[in-house]
Amino acid sequence: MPRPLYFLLAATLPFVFGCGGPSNEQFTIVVIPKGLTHEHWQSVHRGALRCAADLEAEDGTRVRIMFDGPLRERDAMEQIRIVDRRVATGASGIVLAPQHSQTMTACVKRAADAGVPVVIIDSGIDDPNHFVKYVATNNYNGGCLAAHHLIGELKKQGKDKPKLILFRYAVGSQATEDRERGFEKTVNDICPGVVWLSTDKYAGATRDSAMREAGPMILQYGKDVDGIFAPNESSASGTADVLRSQGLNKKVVLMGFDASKPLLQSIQEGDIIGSILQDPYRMGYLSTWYCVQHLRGVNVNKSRTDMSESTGEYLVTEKNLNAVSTLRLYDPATQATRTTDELRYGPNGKPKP
Amino acid sequence: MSTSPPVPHAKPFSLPTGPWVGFIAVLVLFTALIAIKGELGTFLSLGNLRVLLHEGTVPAIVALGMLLVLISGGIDLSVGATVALVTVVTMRVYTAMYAASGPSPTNSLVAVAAGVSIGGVCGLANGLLVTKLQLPPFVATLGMLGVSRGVATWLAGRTVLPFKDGGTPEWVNTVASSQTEFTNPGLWSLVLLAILTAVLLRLTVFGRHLYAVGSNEATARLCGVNVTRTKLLVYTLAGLLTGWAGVIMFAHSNSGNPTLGEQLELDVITAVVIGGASLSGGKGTVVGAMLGVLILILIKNGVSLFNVPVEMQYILIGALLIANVSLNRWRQGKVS
Amino acid sequence: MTPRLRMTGIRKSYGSTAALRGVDLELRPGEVHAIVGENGAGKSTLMKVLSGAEQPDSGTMEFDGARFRPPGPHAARDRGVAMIYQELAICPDLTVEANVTLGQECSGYGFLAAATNCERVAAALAQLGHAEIRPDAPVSSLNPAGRQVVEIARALLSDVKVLVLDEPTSALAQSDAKRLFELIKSLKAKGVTVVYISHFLEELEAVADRFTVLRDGLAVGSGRVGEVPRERIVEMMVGRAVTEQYPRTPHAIGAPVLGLTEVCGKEMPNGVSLALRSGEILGVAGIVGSGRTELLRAVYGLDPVRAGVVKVGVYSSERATPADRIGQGIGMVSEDRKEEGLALELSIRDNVALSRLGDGATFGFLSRSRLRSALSEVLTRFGVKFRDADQAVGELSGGNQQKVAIARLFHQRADVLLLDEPTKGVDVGSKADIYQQIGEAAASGKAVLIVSSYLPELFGVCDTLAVMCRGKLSAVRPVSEWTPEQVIAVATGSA
Repeated sequence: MPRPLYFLLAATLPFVFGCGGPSNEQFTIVVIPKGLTHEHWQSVHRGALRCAADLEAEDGTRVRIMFDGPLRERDAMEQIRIVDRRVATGASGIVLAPQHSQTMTACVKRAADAGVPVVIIDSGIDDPNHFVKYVATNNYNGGCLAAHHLIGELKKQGKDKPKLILFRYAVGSQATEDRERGFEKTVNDICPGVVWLSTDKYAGATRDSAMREAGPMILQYGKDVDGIFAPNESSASGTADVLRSQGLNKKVVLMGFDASKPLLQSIQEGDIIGSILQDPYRMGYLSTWYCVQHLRGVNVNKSRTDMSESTGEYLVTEKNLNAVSTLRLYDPATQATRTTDELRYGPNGKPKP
Repeated sequence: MSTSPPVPHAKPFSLPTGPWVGFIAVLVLFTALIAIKGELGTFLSLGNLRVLLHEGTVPAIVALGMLLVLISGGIDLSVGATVALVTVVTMRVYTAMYAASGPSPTNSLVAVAAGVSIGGVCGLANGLLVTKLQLPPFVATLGMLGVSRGVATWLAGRTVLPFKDGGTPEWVNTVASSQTEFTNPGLWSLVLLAILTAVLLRLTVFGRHLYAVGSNEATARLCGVNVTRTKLLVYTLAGLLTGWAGVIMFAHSNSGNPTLGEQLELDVITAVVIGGASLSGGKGTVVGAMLGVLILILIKNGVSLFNVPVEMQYILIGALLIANVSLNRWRQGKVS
Repeated sequence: MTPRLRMTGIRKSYGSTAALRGVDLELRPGEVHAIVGENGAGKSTLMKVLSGAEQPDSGTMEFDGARFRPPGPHAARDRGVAMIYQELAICPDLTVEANVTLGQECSGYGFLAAATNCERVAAALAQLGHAEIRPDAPVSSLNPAGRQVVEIARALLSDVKVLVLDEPTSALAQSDAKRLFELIKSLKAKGVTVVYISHFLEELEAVADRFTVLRDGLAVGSGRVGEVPRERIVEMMVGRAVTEQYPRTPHAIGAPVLGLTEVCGKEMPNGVSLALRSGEILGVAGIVGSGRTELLRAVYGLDPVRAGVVKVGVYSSERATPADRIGQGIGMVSEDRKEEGLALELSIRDNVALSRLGDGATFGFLSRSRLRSALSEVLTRFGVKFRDADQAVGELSGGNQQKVAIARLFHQRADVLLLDEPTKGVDVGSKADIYQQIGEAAASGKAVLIVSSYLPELFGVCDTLAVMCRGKLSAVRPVSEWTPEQVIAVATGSA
């Protein structure tokens, strides 16, 4: 009988949601990632929580972290809804990884108009006037780093005039386009004899689409190509899969970006020569920190032109795969051992006053 | 001689009690829950009410169209894709006019008109497929879903189309903002359309014929109802409503985006069915459908707001749908 | 007197089969004209032509002296010709008012004139002597008789001059049928011509003025009711003299095979006890809704048995599924052929074999040839007329469909046959075939339980008879100890 069903539902739900007493935290920071499924965002979340813990340990400031994002990374509408919802229901500050640099401007402006400061992380937003701080990886720099490593490896093999493929991610994705630009520019600078076999193929959003696109491309150029750069996790993994299936792994040098368990496994086995890792843990930490500082009235920017802060980009190869310097980027246990100073002020520690 | 009486004592008209029960159940549930968590103030705040109404506007307008189609015994799976197509077309037309003649109110008017009419065209296409090619509505609109989504993606060049820097017209910002929701033109257009739809269903010959076609198409035809015209009209009307919802979505999302509205059709069908409509046609009211949308939005809002795992939202909505429809069946079983 | 409507030389063919081969028909104002004929004789086609649902290949129609050739049912209704189909044309989700006014609503600028419509409907219902039906009641709350009244009211509202009723009493209880006859008489008094199609020849005598007999697409005779003896009409229908309407096969009654002790269902039946012996044909009479169908369903395991014991042969249980019952040797034919009795889209073969597919199968795979040989024997014995066994059952005539449904029980080799209205909507010739088979089944030692609303049939076929009233069953007595008057008295609770 359905009527009791309602009561049953009503009775069990409090347990499902968990009962918590009223709290009197001073700030509620809402962290809004692009999506919920990616490992990257879990690190951001952990970083934010760590920042809250540090703040409470320091001077008893209670910061409540809410982690709320759209389930799917392309659900643009849902992200706008979440921002509006949170602004309307009393968030003190928002940390946002915008899905799109232009469409998210309006709701960031609305938040700012309502007096809720927004810290932008991960990728940029076009309107510079309504957010507090931009905390992200320097993707251009990451692309340069990838170029140096790839060309270095090829030179070790004696290939001074390598034939390369730049396997792009997607049109309009600012972060990956920066990586591609940095890569292309650096390669042309340090290796003038380079031959570009292909720079106009797009991998698309998923590993599956990357495999679909990479298959014919590698069939066409497989005999000639020396090195490939894939500018994100899914395109790198997909390309590695295709190389493996055509027996070209370890023969063609593949450079990736970002990390996942399978991708790191491929580096271990030598199918991928290296990858550039970001520091999402620090991204989460730092953005929360700036948000709270701003709320406390501290000016977090030296000037209007100094609004962005890079959290660093790190080359990972077979050699440093299991080093602490790599593990601290993605492994929860190692992340927890990082020092507060390093997280707040970077690898060089607190600057001398 | 004793016989079974032809007329049992039946109430001539009663409110759709099923959705009310669901609505009150959800409301009580969340209120209890939030009282436990000590954040009743946030949930019941004016700010959240504004947000609820804001988030409900687009699905509610689409639900009005879906209600009409469901009453006629059909179904429209293409609404989500149509909404996406409308946002893209509106943005394309707007930017083209903007590039040609600079900022001017005409741009917006023409773009909105184009968006609504493309919705109507999609609806008309659905109607033609259903009536002229005699396709089952499920198949016809499933096909249109693919076509619309594909055309939207192609027109947008596989990306999201934003406004040019600073080129966002003022009305878009007004519609998109939930902070002044009680004067939001989007919300008031919903109120107006809901009243018009209710009037259409309750007071007009067309509405009467809609119920008749959904209830028993053969009978309606026998009685001289122009079934083909009725169906064509209902799909076109639903398309126009979806088109208007698309324009509001265009403002809310601040973009022309071919990935918008994914699974919107399922949400809306769920809402309308929770509101007492039947997939076999002939049943449904505007009040019920609006309550259904409100229930759905309440669940989404509550789940998001209180750090409940997001998967609970899907489980809750699914459980509620099943509970509600079985409740309706059980009540009907008691009557007959 | 000028005829209201005259049909001359109407021909209509579907593919190679000629349904009508030049029919002439004349209808006068204010008469009740009965059309009789076996199923497949062309009655339905003729009426469809009359009501505009079908276009004749050739022939002419005149309405009040003017040419009449409606392109559709609505056009015919505009001229005053309306047809009430056996499967009622009702929108179950709408109110009585909406159903009656459908397609002819009073309106202004597209808006319904609600008050006017309600008044019109209330007036029409009052005129029909059914003022107790409220215009704002949902039509789903009405019983079949009430729904029929709604349809007739719809016709009345459109100023009907010729009203065609197709088997109007087949879904009605006896008292409702009586009220319908009164209604027909009042329509007649208003000058409406009523065309009445029925299988029940008694009904013609009760209600009709004249009759026309159709056979094989031709009008083979007509006359005034009462002037032509019933035997002569039946002769015209079947084209041969039916010497004995109820063929009897001698059979001996043996040991009990089905025993019911105080069986109660959800609401009905209510404490029914009986014993059915092998070789016995037991009839259950009663009005529609008295719990006869519910009794069969409870015995067969379709409805739950709330209390009491059902004993089948050596098995004794309260709870059993239909599959259990089939295993115990019970077979049932539902009264609702279209919804329950047959899967209309499936082939004849599959329908007959459905309840005993295991026989034609090896390790779960069906053997077509084995099924075919097993089935063709059963089908031939029943005289089912069919093109081939792969034909969909829905294409057959009503009589042949019913034969297929009963043939299934024989294929299933059931020992106890539960037949719910086995001759409903079946023509005279097929009826005789079905009675013959029932008799032979009893002769071969099977036990048969027949539920029927048609008293002559029960008296003609059964050995013993019991009457159901409000969920209770009277004592079972040999047929010879009953009279029809007694049965009706018990059935209506006035005994």
